[in-house]
Amino acid sequence: MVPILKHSQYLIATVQAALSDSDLLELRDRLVAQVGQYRARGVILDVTALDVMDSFAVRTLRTLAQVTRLRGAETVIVGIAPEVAMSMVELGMTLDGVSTALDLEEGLAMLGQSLPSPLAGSRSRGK
Amino acid sequence: MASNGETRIAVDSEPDLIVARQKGRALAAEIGFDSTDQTLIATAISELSRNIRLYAKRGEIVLCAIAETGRRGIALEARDEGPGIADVTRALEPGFSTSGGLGLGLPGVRRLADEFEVVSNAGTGTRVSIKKWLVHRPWLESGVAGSALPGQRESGDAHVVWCQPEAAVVAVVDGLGHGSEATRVAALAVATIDAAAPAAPATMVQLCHDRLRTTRGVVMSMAAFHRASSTMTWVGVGNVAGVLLRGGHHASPSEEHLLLRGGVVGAVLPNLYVATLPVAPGDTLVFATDGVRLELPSDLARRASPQQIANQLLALGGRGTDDALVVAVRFWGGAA
Repeated sequence: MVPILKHSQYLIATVQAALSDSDLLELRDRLVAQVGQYRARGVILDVTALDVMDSFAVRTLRTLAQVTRLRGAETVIVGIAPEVAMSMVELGMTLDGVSTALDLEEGLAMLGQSLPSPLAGSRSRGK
Repeated sequence: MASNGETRIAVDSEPDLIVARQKGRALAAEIGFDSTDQTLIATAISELSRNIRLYAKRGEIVLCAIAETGRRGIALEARDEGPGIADVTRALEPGFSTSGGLGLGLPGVRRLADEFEVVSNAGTGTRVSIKKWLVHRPWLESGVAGSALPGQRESGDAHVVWCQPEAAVVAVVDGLGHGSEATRVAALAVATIDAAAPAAPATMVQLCHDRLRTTRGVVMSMAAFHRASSTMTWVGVGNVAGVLLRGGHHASPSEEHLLLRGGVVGAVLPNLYVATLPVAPGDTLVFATDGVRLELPSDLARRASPQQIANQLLALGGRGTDDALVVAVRFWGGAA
């Protein structure tokens, strides 16, 4: 089972090995549920360890991004390996409408830009 | 067409998809496909075995290394005894799907294949067969860039890239001092290595040492590649730097450095430190004489050809205070 960490207002899930179709669906559903449970504003899914991105995986990630967005959280997919990205392009698979970033750090930065952090907000009010 | 035996993977349950694509990737790697092609092949297997599960419940994936005159590749076939595809032409149109998928399965698989065939009959099942050929390339690809010390017509640096189907020897030699005597001594070392290859590196260094005893001597680094075992053995005397850049994206560490022993071949030979490393397709060995800084932008190693790497290192790192020579060799391996 893919572990999900809660980090401030974000959920971070890191894929550890190749996932079966039902593993992917289970992960999608758990992330959608936890967005509500923890009132998360962003989800980062690190797929560095995913061996292939086939049509099922692409469809599942698109659904995840759309559903979490409807629940008020932005999803960023990070860590698509270069050879996986290359094969997605060759096979004509796109993650249209899904945010992507190079790695976890970039993903957090991306979410940080789209969401004003509560800490920064209180500082600016204090001036 | 020759085939070296089939691998059959039953597709009966969901985890079988992962097993099938992992076996496909392993076979593709063994044949010598690069990591992108390995991923394409694994993705195709994933799509085909999912189709088996969706439409026929069970079936099998058959993988096979194939070879014809002058080329080799992989054949894979998805077989089931399900209901068959009613309209094969439509099933190959992007976006068409009867299972609520993206409809990218079969068209995507067709796109990556060099040869593609679907045989499907209502009631007797479906066979999707694809072949993908490996674009031919040598098992060892090399590039060389060098320059003589400004003001000198001849360089005291010399190299050997001796390559045969089973083994290869790569050496970079730097004759001590400059000018014609350095050039002559370096050439003598190169001729000695050429004549002795493919002996063990330590043996070749010793032969050079014996041959160069009356000269001012050289420093050298040398590597021997063995194709079948995918190994490289290297040794260095003096200050010809060596680095092995790992080609794989996840390789750790991403590079290995040759441990150099101080000394001069022909004068003072140290105890040789010979190391043997496993090499993978895409790994690149770089030797550079001390006129060059062996500092490579981290992503250059994977994207550039050996010749580009040699050119760039010479351009970036030439100190202009000595002769400079860079030799880059990329191992691709694969069956002879």
